[in-house]
Amino acid sequence: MARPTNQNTKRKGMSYTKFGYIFIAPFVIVYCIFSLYPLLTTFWYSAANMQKTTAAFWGFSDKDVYYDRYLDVTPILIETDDETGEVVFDGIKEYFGVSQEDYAKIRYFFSIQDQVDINDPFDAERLKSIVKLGPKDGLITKATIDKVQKAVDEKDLSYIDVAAMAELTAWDDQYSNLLTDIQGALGFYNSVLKDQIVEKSSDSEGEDGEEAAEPVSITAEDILSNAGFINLPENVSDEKVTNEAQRAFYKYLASKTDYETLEEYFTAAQEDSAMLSDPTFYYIIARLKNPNACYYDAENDMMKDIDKITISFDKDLQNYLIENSWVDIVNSEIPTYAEIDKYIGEGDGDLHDIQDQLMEDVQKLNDYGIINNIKLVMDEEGNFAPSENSKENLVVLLQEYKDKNFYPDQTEIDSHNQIAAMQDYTRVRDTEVGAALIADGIKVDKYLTFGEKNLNIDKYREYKKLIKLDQAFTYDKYKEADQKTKDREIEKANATIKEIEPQIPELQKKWEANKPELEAQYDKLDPNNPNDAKLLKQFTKEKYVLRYADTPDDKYGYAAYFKAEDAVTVAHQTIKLPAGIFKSVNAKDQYVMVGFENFNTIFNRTKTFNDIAGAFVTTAVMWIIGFIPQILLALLLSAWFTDTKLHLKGLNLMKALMYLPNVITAVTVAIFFRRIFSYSTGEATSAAQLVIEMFGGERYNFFQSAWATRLIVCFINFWMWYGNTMIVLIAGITSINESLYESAQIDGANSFQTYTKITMPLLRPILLYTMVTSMIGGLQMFDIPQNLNMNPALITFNGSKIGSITTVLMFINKQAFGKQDLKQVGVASATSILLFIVTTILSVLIFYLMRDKDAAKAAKAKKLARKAGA
Amino acid sequence: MSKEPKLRSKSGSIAAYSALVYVVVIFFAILAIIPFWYMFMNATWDSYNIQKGIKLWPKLFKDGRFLGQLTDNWKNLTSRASFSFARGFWNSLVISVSSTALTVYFSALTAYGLTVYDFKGRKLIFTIIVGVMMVPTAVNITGFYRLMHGMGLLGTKWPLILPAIAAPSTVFFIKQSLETSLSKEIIEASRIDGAGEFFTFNRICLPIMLPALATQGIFSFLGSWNNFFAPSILLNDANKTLPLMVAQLYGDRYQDYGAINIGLSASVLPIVIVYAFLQKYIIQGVAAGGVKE
Repeated sequence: MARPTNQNTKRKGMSYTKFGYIFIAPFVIVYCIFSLYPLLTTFWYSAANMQKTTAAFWGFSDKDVYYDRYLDVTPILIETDDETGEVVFDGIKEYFGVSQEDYAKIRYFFSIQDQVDINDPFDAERLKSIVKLGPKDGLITKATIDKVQKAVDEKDLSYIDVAAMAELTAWDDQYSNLLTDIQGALGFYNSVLKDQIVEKSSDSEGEDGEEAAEPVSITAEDILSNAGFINLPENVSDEKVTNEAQRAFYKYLASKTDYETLEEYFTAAQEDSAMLSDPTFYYIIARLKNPNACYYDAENDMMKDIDKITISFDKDLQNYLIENSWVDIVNSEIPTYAEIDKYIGEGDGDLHDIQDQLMEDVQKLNDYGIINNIKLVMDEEGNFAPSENSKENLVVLLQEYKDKNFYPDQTEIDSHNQIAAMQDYTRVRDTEVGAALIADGIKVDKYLTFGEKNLNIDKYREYKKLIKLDQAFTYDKYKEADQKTKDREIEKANATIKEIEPQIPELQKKWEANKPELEAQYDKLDPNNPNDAKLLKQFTKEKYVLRYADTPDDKYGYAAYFKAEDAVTVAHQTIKLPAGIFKSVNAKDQYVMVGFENFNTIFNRTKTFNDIAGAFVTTAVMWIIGFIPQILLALLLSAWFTDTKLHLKGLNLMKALMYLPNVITAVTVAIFFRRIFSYSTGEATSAAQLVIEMFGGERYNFFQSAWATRLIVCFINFWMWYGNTMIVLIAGITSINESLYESAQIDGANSFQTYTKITMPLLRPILLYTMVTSMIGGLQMFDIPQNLNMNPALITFNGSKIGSITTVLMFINKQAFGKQDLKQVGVASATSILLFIVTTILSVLIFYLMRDKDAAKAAKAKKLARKAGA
Repeated sequence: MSKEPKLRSKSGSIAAYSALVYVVVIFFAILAIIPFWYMFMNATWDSYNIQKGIKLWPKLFKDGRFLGQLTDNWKNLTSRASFSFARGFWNSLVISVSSTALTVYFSALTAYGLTVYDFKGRKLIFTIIVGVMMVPTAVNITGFYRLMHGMGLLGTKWPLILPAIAAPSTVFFIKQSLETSLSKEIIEASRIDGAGEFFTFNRICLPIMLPALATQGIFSFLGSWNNFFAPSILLNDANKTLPLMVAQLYGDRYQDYGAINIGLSASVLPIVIVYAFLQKYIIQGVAAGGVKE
C-alpha cells in the first residue's frame, strides 16, 4: 500500500518541478528584457564612440528619416566648377533621381523643424500669456487676440496674418524686460568667452592627441620689436592727438595704470616685457583698437564715437595675451562659459542665488578687458565713465536686479519670447521653397512636430510622401549612394595616381638639386647679427630649409614636389578608405566601438574627470554628513524606545510621526525647503531669513554658499531617514533574546554595559544592513538636490569648478538627457558603469569588513578540519 | 540600611531621565511634522503674508468666504497650463496601481515557484536575485531609454509599468515570509483534491500570503508614487505624474507663494491620509526589513 503511493507522489513530484520554471518564467523574462538587456547595452554604449552623438541617436531606428534630417548631401554630391560655378556633377540627380529643387524640400522641412525645436511657436502657456496680457493696455485689438487664440487652437500660425503680426511686434516693443536684457547680455558674454577663451585653451591642449596646428611662435620680444608697438608711444602722445575728447579718453585709459599718460606707460612697457602679460595692458590695447566710447559733440548736437587707433599686430598680440594671461585668469577665477550657460540656458534658474558671484565675475571680465562691451561716455568735465543706461552693461543691470529684488513678470517674458518664436518661425517658413509647396497645396505646419521631445516620424513620413520623395530617399538608396560615392572617389584617386605618380621622380630630382642652396644659406648665418642669432636659435638646419623652401614663386621646386607627393598619398588613402556620404553625420551609421576610450576620456581630460570624480565625491560627502547624525540619533532613540525601565508611553504615535517624512514625495520636500531657505533683500522674504532676523542676525543667502547648500541637502536626507533607521534598529533590538539581558542584569551590568556588550555586537548585522542600503540609496541621490537647486553654487574640486550638489545621477541625467544639443551618451554610460562598479565594490567591502568574524573563523576551522580529515 | 535611599534616588533619577527622554523625543516628533504643518498653513495665506512672517495658523476667512484665500490660491494654480493636478494625480494613480498590482502578483508567483518546486538551478536563481537586489536601478538608464525608444514606448506609461513584473527585492522578502507561513501540506491536500497548480496558487496560497503581499504592496505603491528620476526622463507632457507636476513649481516662474504651497500641499495630502490609516502596517513592514532605502 505504501509503495505505490510513494511512487505516485514521486512521479507527480517530478512532473511538478516543471511548474517551478513556469512560475518564475515571467520574472526571468521581464528581468532579462527590462533590466539585464539595458544593463548590457549600457556596458556596450560605455565602450562606444558616442561622444558626439546627437539627440537623434535616440531616433536611430528610422535610419532614412535620420539621414534626411542630419545628412545634407548637397555639398557632397553637387560638384561645381571652381571658376565658372557651373554644376559639373549632380549626384542627387544621378544617385537619387531627384532634382536639387525637390531635395531642397527635405532640407526646408528640417530647417523649420530645427527652429521649432529651439523655440516652439505653439507653446500653449506662452500663447496664453499673449491672450491674457494683450487686451490689458488696449494696444492689441480684439481681432488679433482672436487670431492668436485660433492659431493656438488649430496649431496653425497662418491665422496670424501680416497685419496681426505687425501689431504684435509693435506691442512687444513696449515691453523691455530687465531679465531679458540680462539674459541677452549674459548671452553675449557667453559667446565671447566661448569663442575666444575656452575654445582657444582647449585647442592648445591638443585633446585628440593630434598635433595642434602651427603653434603661435610669437614671443614678448616679437611684440617689443614690432614696428606698430615701437610707434605706439608716439601715436598716443599729446602732440599727435589733437582732438580733445580723444585726449581725455587716453587720459582715462592711463588712469588705469601707474603712469600719468599713455605715452609714458607704453615707453615703460617697451623696457619691461613683463608688463605685457598684465591684463590691464590688453584692456588698454583693446580699448584703443575699439574704443566703444563716445562724447557729446556740441557743434552737431550729437553723441560722437571716439576714433580708434590702428594697431597692426593686434591678432598676434591677442594670441600672446590669451596664452599668457587670459587662460589663467579664466581658469582660475572665473566660471567658464559652461556655468554662465546655465544662467541663460533655460532661464528657469533663480539668478538671485548667484547674483553676487556673477557680478563679481563679470566685473573682473570687464576689468581685464576680456569682454569690452560697456560703452564709455564722457561727461561735461571730460571724464569717462561706463554708461549707466547701457543695456549691455551687465554690472549695471545686475545691480538693478539686485537692488530692486527684481522678479520678472513671467507673463511679459513669456509673451515676448513667444512673439520672438513666432517671428523666427515665420521667417524660416516663408521662403521660396515654402511658397512653392503652398502652390502645390502643401501646408508644412501640419507635418511638423511641436512641443515634443522627439520628431513625430509618422507625420514626417506623410510629408515625405506628399512631396513624392518617400521612394527616392530610402535607407537603401542612401547606402547605394554612399557606395557609388565611394566608387567615384576611388576612380578619381586612381586617375590622380596614374597622372601624377610618374611625374614625382623628376620633381624630386629638381628639389634635391636646389636644396644645397638653402643649406648654404643657413651655414652663412652670423651668430653676432641679432636677427640671424634669433633664426639660429629658433631653427635647426633641417627646419630652416623647410621653412624657407616654400616661396610664392616656388623657385626651389619644393611646393610642386610635395604637392604631388601629398596628392598621391591622399589618393592611396582614399582607395584604402573612401569617405562616402555618411562621414559628415555626427552619429555614424554604426557607431565605432572604441573600447575603453570613454574611460580614457574620463581619466585623461581634466575637465570631464573633475566633473565625474567631483560628482562622486559630492554624493559621498553628502551621504556621509547626512548618515552620521542619522545613525547616531537612531541608535539613541532606539535605545530609549526599547529601554523597559523608562516605561515610555505613546511610543507608537512618536514612531509614526518620526517616520512620516520618509513616505512623502522627495520632490515636494526639496521644493518646500528651497522656498524656506530662499533669499531676497526686500521686505518679503522666506522663513529661514525671518528666523535669522528674529535672532538679530543678518540675512544669509544659503544657496550662494556651496557648503550651506550641501548642508541643506544633508539635513533633508537626515530628516527623511532617521525615523526609518530607528524603526529598523528597534526591530533589531527587540529581536535579541531576552534571557541575555536577564543574565546580564543578574551579573550586575548597568544599562550602558548591557548596551555596549550585548546590544551593539548583536545589532551589527542590522547596522550593516542599514548602512549598505543607505549607501546604495545615497549613491542614487537625485530627487532632492535636483529639485533643491538646479544651478547650485559652485565649488572648486581639483582645480575646476563643479556644482556643489551635483550628484552622480544628476551628472548622468544631464549628459544623456539634458537639453543640450550633443548628448554625451558614451560618457553618461561610462559613468553609469562606474556607479555600478563602485556600488558593487562598496557593498562587498562592507559585507567583508562587518561580517561576523567568529562565524567566519568557525567556518574556516570546520573547513580545515574537513581537509585534515580527508 | 543604605539600600533604601539609593533606590529612591535611583527612581528619582529615572523620572528625571524619562523627562529628558520625553523632551528629546517630542522635539524630534515635532521636527518631523512641523514643515508639513507650515506648508498646509501657508496654503491658506496669500503670497505677501507668507513672505512677511511665519504663519503657523490658518487664514480662515477672506472677504467673508471660509478659506477664501485657499480657494483663490487653488484657482491661481490650476489656471496654469503646466499644472493640472487632476491629470497628474490620475497618471500617478494609473502607474502606481498597475505597477503595484504587477509587482505583487508576479513577485508572489516567483517566490512561490522558488519555494515550492525543487527544480534544477533554483538555488542559483535565488542567489542571483539576492545579488541583483543591490544593483541600483538607475545604472542602466541609457540602455533602458534606448530600448524603450526601440519599442516605441517612449513617452507612454508602459516603461514604468511593465518592468514592475520583475522586482527582485519584493521577491526576496515575500520568499522569506513564505518559508515560515506556507505549509506544504496545504499544497499537497489541494493537489490530492485534483486542483491544478495555478488554481492552488491563486485560490489557496495567495490568500495565505496576503499579509506579506499587503506590506510589500504598500511599499511598492509608495515607491512608484514618489518616483521621480525615471518618470522625468521617460514620460511626455500628457503622461506627467504628480511629482513631475510638483517639480515644475521649482522654476519661480510665478512668484505666487500661496499657489506654490497649495500645489505642494495637494501632493502631500493624499499620502498623509493614506499613511494615517496604514501607518501601523507600514511601520511593521519597515521593522521587518521590508523596505529598501
